[in-house]
Amino acid sequence: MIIETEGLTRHFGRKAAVQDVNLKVPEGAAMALVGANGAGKTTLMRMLLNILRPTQGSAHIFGKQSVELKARDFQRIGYVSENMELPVRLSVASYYDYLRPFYPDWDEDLERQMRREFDLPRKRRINRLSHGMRVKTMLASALAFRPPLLILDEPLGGLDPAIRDDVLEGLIDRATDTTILISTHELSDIEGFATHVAFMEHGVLLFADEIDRLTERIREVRAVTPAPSGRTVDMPRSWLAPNHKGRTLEFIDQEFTNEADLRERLAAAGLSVEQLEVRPLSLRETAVALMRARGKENDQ
Amino acid sequence: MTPFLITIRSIIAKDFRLLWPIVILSAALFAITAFLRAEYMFLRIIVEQMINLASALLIVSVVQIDTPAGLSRDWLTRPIAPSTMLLAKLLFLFVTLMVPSFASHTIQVLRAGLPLEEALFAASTTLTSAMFISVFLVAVAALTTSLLQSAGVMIALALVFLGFTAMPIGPMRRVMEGSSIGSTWVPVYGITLVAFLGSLTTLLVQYVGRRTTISRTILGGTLLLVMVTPLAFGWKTVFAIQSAVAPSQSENIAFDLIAKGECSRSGFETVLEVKGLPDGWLPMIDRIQLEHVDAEGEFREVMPENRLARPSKADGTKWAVTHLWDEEDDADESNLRLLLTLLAPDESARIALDGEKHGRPGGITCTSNPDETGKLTVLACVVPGAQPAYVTAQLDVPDSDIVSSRPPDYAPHILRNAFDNNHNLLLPLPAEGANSATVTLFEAVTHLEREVEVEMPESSCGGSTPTE
Repeated sequence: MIIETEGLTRHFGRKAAVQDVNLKVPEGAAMALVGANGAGKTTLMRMLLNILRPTQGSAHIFGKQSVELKARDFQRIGYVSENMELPVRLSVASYYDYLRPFYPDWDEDLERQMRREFDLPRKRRINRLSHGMRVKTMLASALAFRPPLLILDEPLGGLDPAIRDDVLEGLIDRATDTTILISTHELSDIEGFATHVAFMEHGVLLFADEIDRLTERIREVRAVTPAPSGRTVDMPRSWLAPNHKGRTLEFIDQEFTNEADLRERLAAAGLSVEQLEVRPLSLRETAVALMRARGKENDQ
Repeated sequence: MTPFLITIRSIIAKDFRLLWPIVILSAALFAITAFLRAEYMFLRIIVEQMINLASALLIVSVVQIDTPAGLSRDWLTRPIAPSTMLLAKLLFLFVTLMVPSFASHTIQVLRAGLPLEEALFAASTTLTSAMFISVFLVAVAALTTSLLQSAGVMIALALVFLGFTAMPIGPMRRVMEGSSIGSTWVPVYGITLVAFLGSLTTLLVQYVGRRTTISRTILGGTLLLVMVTPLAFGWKTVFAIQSAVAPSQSENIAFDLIAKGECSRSGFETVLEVKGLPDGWLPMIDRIQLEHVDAEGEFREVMPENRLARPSKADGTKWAVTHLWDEEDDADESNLRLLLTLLAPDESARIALDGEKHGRPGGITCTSNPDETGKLTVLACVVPGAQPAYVTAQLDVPDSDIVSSRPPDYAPHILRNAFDNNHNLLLPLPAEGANSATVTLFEAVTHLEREVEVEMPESSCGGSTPTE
């Protein structure tokens, strides 16, 4: 695992900004960390980078405790955040001149190429760049040394669609061998890009999984039984958001493989099925369903 | 070049790109002071204040660009070790502030006619103090996240400190009072050392440990410690320290006093050059005696504070009585008492001019000894369990053709610009009507005394003469 956290917790006063997060990001993954503003994504990332110390628990990056990360380790980690304060009175070129010596693997050709593709004006001061241009400047600075790990904190927030596409293309083209952890509050931003997804809410990690596995095994199920049986249905935990009304039972199945298997599991739960409808969910629908279900569990 | 040096160079180059206007401004101000003639006092004060402001702005700005406080500075996620960042900032300040300051001071002293070796030593002394103050400012800047926040904190700290200093009763009063006996340097050095060590600890905790709250607590604690530090410097401690750094009297000790003089816009200026003073000695101006024939009465009017203090003949500290003068030219008992309470808690000092003994049990006993020849009254005071102190006060001698006087600005103090074993002091003298001046120096601990005569120009220098 490139990133692995265990019970990672951070309190600000009495408030828990991040609570008991166990997250694993395998090598080569592009994990999207999804959650609303204030969900704890930025705090989590800051703990991973040793900008913040955890109140409890631990985080490991490249197998090393985050609190023990040294300057040299940051030669392997690229970080982009809209919250970061750059030396804004430097020009774009001066900014890269400043950074270049810190990274032995800095690829000047790649830097030039990205500057050209992103239309970054060399001599313009950073404080005179638009928000989108500034994000591109940061992104180019994070990609130019080809880091094995990229941590991107809301890099797409506030960008217009054209620039967002530029940024994503830049990422997809140049971070093929890079493990990426990217936070966003908009799931659609990273659909088609991320290989893994994790959802956070109120500082709690609701779930994290591979997107393909999620879309393969999660289905919306509508089962119609011949007549109300009168006996209690013993629903397994993998059926989320069950809604049993009369002859109809609706739920989200988390362990779908094929219809035959589903029928067997329905029968095992005491349900004979007259009619069965199974519908695959989009990533957004999956996320909403999972978040609601986990939210309910947490409330209980 | 090693990666460490490459990192330092890159940070310094970036900081220079960002802050070159302030760097150029402060360098220009240092250049102006270096070549500003001594008589343009007012202009010099303004330029020096501008230097202080520019320096503070530069210090705070360079630290704030990459402050370790807060969570959002770019450098926090770059391959830069916090200790390297701190070192780069200190080096930048050394190059952009300390070097110009050093050059400026060296040129100033050279222009005063002193040799290069002495000028370099004088500049390095000034540099050391500037570095100590800078480290404190760096610490404040490293605990804040914006220029405004830093300025706010500094103003608040300055107000607290000034308020504390102005308190009529308090530890700082001890420091102020020490200025009349030449012992201020002991508590001042103590305070400076505490402030420096506190600031350094703050910086290390903040940069290496990245613990802003703890660092702020340390700096706050340092400030409190600075305020109570003078309490640790009672007169016994001060005297012990002063004696400890001075050579033993049994050593074969001597120093020479050389004076040079020239007219300037503010009058006649004398450069006192003290040579061969062993380390740890504290040369102090004792008195300046102007000799004139015709304008004696006038001179008495313009220089009222003509009380003299002579060094103790025994081991002991020297007490200057500079504010005893009143209309009757009688000794001001309350002032003397105040002064002598530095020696002991009891306030029983009295002064008399008739040779009688005064004293109270457990208090200070003073014996006055009028000296008709020298027109001086010598007052010897002994504090039980303490060192004896001798105080002299001059009688009103309107008909005498010699007037001894100490210009008010030259109450006994340690000569500034001490370098190596030599010391220099620019001494503007009121030259009106005087033919010559005899300047007496003494060493604070051993009380060795030297006199030097300075010939005054035949005609007036044309400078301003202090008036009442």
